[in-house]
Amino acid sequence: MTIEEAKKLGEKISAGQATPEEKLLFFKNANQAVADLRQDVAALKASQELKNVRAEM
Amino acid sequence: MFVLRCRLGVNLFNKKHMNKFFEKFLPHKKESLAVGSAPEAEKSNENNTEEEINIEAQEFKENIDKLQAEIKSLGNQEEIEAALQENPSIASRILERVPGVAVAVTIITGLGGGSLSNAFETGDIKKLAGTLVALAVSSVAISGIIEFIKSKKADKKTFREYSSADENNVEHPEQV
Repeated sequence: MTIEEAKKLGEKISAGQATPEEKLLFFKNANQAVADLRQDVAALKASQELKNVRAEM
Repeated sequence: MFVLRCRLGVNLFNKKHMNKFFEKFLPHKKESLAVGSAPEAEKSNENNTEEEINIEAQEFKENIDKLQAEIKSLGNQEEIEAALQENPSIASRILERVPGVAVAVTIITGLGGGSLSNAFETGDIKKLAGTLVALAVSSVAISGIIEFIKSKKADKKTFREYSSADENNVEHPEQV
């Protein structure tokens, strides 16, 4: 999904004009986005922990 | 008479056997092609989509709950900002996820699309950290917004109803 498509979908949902299929697409995309974000946050956490271990040494 | 009987026979054969045929060999086509079942098929499709929406929405809520706990474990906004500054590759990876994250985070947090787009477009780490913190604390907003998206009569009024409770509970960081 491109940024333009994502923006249009968001606008449609906010305006209450989205079809059930578009709502489903939104949730699928959102789930993927959250999964990606969780990976990034896990990487940040690992980096913080490594930094703490180094500081203690 | 013979012709009438033939036509009746063909019709009965069609309805009975075509449905069986689709059920057995083309189950995915049954709903759209089966004789005399169009309205039911439409209703069934609608129900399936709604069921799928509910499953995805539930998964979304669970994943968000986990994500929120994970973001909170990173510390406060300053600590998250410091972690992002120290890991520019991770920060830029988050920034690269613009399409999916922008839609999800904008709607989840109830933040204006403009401020969020600004964070992504400018690559502003401070704003990005603020967005993550907003995401971590907006649990009420998430439930409300999910219900709003799922609702059949979604409009600006229902959005206000669903999100009005959020205003008192969500601590939006000033920098976002």
